[in-house]
Amino acid sequence: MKLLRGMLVVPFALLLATDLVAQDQEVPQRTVTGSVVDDVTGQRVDFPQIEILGTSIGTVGAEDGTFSLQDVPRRELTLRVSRIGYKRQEFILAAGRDTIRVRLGSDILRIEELVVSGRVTTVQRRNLANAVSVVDGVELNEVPIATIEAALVGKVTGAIVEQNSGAPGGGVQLTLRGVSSINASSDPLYVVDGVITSNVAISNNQEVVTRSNEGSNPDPNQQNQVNRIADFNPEDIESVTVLKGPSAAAIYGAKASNGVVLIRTKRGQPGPPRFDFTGRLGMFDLSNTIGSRVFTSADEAEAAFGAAGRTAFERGKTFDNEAILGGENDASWEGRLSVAGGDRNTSYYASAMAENQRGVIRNTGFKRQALRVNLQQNVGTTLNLGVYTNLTHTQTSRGITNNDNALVSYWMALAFTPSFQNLRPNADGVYPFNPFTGSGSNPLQTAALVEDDQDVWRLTASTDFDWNFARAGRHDLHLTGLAGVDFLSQSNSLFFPAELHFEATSPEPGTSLLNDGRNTNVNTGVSIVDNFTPASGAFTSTTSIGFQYESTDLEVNRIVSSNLVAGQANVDAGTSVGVEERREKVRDLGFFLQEELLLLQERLLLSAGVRADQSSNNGDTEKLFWYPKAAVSYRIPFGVGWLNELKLRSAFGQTGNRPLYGQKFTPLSSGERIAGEPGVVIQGTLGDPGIEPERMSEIEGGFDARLFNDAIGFEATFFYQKVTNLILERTPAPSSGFAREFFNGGSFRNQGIELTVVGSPVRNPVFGWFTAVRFFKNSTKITNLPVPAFEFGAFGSDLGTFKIEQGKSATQIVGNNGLDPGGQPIIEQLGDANPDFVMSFTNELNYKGFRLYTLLDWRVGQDLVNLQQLLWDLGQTSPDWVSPGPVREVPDCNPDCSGEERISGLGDYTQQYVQSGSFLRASEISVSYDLPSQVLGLNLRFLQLNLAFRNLFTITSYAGLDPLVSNFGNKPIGRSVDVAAFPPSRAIWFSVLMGI
Amino acid sequence: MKTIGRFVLASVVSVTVLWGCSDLTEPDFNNPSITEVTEDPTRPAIISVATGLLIGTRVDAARTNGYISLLGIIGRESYNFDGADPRFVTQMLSGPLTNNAPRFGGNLWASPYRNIQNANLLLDAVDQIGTDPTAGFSATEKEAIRGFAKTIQALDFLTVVNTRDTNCGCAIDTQDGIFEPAPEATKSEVFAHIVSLLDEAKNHLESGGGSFPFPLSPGFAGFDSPSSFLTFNRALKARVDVYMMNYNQALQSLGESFINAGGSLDLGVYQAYSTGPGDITNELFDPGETRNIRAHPSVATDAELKTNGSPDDRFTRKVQTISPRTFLDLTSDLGFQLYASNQASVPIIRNEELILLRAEANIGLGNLGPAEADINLIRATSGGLPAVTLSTAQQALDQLLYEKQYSLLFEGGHRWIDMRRYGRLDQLPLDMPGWPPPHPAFPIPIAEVNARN
Repeated sequence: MKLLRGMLVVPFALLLATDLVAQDQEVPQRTVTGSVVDDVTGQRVDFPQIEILGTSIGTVGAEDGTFSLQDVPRRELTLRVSRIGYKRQEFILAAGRDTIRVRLGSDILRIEELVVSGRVTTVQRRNLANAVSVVDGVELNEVPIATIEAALVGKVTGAIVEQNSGAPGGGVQLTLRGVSSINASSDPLYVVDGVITSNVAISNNQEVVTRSNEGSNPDPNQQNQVNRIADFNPEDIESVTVLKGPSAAAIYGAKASNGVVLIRTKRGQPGPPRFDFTGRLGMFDLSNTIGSRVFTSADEAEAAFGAAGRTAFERGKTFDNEAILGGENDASWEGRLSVAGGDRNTSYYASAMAENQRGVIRNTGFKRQALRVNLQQNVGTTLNLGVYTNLTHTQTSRGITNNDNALVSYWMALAFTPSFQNLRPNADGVYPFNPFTGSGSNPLQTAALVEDDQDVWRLTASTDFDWNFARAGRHDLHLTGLAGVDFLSQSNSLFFPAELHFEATSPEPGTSLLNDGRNTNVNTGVSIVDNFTPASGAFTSTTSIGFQYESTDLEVNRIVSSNLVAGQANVDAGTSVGVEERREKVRDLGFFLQEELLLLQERLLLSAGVRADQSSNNGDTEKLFWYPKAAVSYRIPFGVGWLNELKLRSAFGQTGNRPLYGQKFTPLSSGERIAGEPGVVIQGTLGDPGIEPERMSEIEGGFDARLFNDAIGFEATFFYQKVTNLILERTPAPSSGFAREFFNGGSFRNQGIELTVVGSPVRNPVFGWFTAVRFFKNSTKITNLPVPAFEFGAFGSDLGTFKIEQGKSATQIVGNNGLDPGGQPIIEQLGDANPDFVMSFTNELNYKGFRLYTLLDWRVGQDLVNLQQLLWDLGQTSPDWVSPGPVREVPDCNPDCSGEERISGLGDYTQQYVQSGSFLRASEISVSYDLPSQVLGLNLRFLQLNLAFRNLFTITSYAGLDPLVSNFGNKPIGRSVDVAAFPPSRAIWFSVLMGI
Repeated sequence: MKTIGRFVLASVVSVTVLWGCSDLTEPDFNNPSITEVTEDPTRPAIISVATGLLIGTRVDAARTNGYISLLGIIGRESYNFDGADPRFVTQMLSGPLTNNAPRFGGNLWASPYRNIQNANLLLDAVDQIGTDPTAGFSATEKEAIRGFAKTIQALDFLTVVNTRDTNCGCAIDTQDGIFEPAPEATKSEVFAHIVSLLDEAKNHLESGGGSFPFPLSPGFAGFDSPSSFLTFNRALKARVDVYMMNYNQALQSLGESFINAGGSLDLGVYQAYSTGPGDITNELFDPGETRNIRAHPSVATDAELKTNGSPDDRFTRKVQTISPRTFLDLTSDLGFQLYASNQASVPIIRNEELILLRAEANIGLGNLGPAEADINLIRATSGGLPAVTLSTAQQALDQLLYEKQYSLLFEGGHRWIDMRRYGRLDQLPLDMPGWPPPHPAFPIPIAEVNARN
């Protein structure tokens, strides 16, 4: 990354050519001027780089494509012109020529893009040995979305982007090449401008009210919590580089098994200040409802709900309570201003933005204000300094969704509310008591009165330097360093006033929750890079060595207060107050060494490296864990017909997945009291004092073909991963007093294919078509499990759950399939949460100033546990509740069972609720028009009008609200459980983008 | 090149030095380690573990998914219409009680055994610590702690055997269960172990001095010295004796217990709850017209009538009529009112049960006269009902089981346990035609089965 910048900004003065320059002193000088244009459209190419080979003369052109080179020797020279996005061009500049016009061909396949190949090194994509995906800022921001991972949907082959719910503003999981762990982290490593950035999700403790953890899964993370990468504004991003597996990410060591996402924010370019303004206006709209059974008579209502049903039933009166609850279409907006510029030595980029996304449920939404300043400064000719700061404030409100055991959660309460029950307030604003939920909870009242505010301040600041400290002989040495801090402070305050029906009927009416979480990441690192080219020029060698130190300190304090003095939200207003403090601190130290060789006229790339890591989370904090890598790629030096070039590549690497904090400790539980007396009890978890990171090995191979004069590219990658030394939970006999014991052991494999076709089949001055098709398929298998197969993640086999079982897919969903003669259920695989394959289709059409962009996301074969439908069935409110014919038995009726058939099979059978979530979704559609700037008579660089749709339509047979859902938030295994999630929505945005 | 060489050398040296200095160890910020008790325990640590035993034995008692609630459902004392979890019906009533989830069929196993290990931890620590009166415990204090620990341990074993009954395969010797699952023990072996624990505890308590060196919860008010705690120990012993049909033994144990025919029927030992920080509340307190926890309709229909025609006082005292609710074809318009708040105590054992245990022992011994006296005492004082005459053993037992049903309603799964002991589960009402007969016992949890294999 740093070298990349070095190449861009510290121009060619660094090249070793002193002797040549000395000779040139005697030759007469001239000034060469020119301009650079696109060879098809004829449009000017901004900021072209021009260098004269064999000299130190070079420059970066202006935004209008013009450039001027001073003191050029008056003799025949070779000129090289390049620009990101274009193929570089070299040509002879005759001794007599002083003005030139350069036509650059578009680099559709981005073969010249510099892609990360090591911790601090890059290589051109044409030579890259790994399938590394890079998404640039434009592609990322085609259709507005709050979070970076969500913006990546369909844009990275091998990545699956999964929303946990339809709520605006985060709660998204990015899974690269399938699951990589059972018990360790599922998060990729997010690195923003070199700083490892927290993606922690701090839950809001709403389980105090929803009692979501009191059922058979005590997981506290059933609250639609936001993973905090959501704080970063996608529109400040220049590019996202995704290292999908160990073969590419090995140099990130023990934190990289889930892949690495390298985010580079925007930088300034030399030139006068350029202002960009974006204004957006949009709205969200509920995109699906489950529907509700229509009752035809009071008798039918009484049969279902007893006397309460007869009392509430009124012939012909039905309420679409889902649409009423999710019917908010308030205007959402965003405003953004940025300025960038600089000169030879200084460049700057600054942006400010504010946005307000309003959810489809009352009092839900996402607000963000952010400021970013990036500065870079050259000091002399050898030192480049950079400072990157970002301050973000986000406010998220999502109301009460996901699993609960109090029937408070919105779609939970609706499941039990028949369509004849009016939930809307009367003329006095009084919301009716809902007699069909045990607690009387009325979701419209809950949405209106519950205050759920999440307030996050986040400051990320880093500084780096790149010092070209020695150039001697054929060596060129850089010392690079980085120091950064990522600090976030999250405050959640939830207030459930006593007048809520479910509070009024509770033992302690009125609840106030206050949570404060703080996370501090500190990063430092130093590296040395040596570039060496022997006199013969036979190869170039890049050697890098360095170390990193990182620490993470997370502290969460929670206060629960109930039985509140009327109307008072302060936590000291309750008679029943509980407090809790949790702290996790992790420190890591890593070291790496890497060698890259480019041989045979830059056709053969050989690379090898090793990373060593130690961590406070390991049992032995002083032990080094080593992660090697090696890669090779070869560009076959001839083409055949329409095949311009074929590159073969193969790479191997290993990464780790650290134990989580606490997995090495055997604690006593100390927070419990009886009548004010403290006592300690066995907590039930046995730590492993010798716990080690999981280890993932990956070998990937493939080829990249450039076809039809580089208009079409085809990439095929096969990968095989093996995860060993898994962090597993052994279940000792519960009679030992311990419910689980952590240990290392077992293994699973994961293999898959990634295919990508990108290209521009048609491109002429009037019309352009760019297309990309991405295909990904993977499968996992538990190859060695030294413990008995165990159920995992959901609510037990009768309600569908995951099961880790040797010889089976790691993501299999199991459930009851009849009873054995002993009356115990036969537990069998009923589905798999992993899709059979994932495809995406990107198309971009340009016609004059018009542009149409579409992204379709297609996933086939992933299954879900549809407990949302189970709830509807339990409430006898499913739209298909009544059997048209005689009531059949599950499994005879599956998959076309009516609600009463499904529910009658519950306990003995689960298959009726394990359902396919295949879908085709129009994830992004955008239409834009670039107004010709001269028409307006304004001095604008550009003016664009844009209409964009996100998730405009979804085609699926899934019976729940949305197949993209996770009750338990981000998890390696155990997603795809659908319980009363925030409903899905589509968004529409009208935007004006303007540049001055 | 020299400069470069020196620079690289310096970097390598500094990295190495940094390595040598790096001790990355971080402690557990959130919890004390188990080694605080297992290695060189201190007096405060042991006092904390002793208090912890009361926390540990209380865990499952009054949870919605706990002992009284689940046993109450199988014993047709109660329903739970939790819309979010149909398994209160599908597992407890209409379908199989499966062993694969930690709740329902797999429930009421890990918690009592965890507390059994807490007691083992305490007993080991007491053996380890010295007898210095300030830094350790005197020999008398140690005896008091041992008597306490073994009594509570016996109570937890009773939870295990009451829920698993003939499905045992239960575990007794669990000390090294982490490495090697405890060998399977039968129901009678577990009962024998409970008896020996209670008897050992008795000996310890007798030499336990005048007070415990740690505070007991308010649920033990009046039973918070070694001598008074012993009467609680004997009361538990009496219940176990009756369960084992050792009726003479039972009468002897009752004689040493706090039984008091003239005293308050509520005299006894309780689990205490509060809303204080870190404490837990009584989840069986479920107010509101649309509540989930409901009384079984048979509780109303089975109640005897007083001479004035109104139902048994015990029914009117403990149960109230509320709005009817229907869930999964079941309907009930009855709620409980015997727990008046979420801080209400829950009986472990009390005088009313002891008097009925005495009646039961006497019936077992054929002494219908004394049994009749005790039963009529309870009928009059607790139920407001006219006296009955016991003429046959069969009729006496029928009457006793009726009295126990209403005297001990929804306070400890007594109905299910009692009906099972006399082979009368088939006499419990069947809620829907085609549903299986009441579950006779909870299965051994799958985790235990797996660990043994």
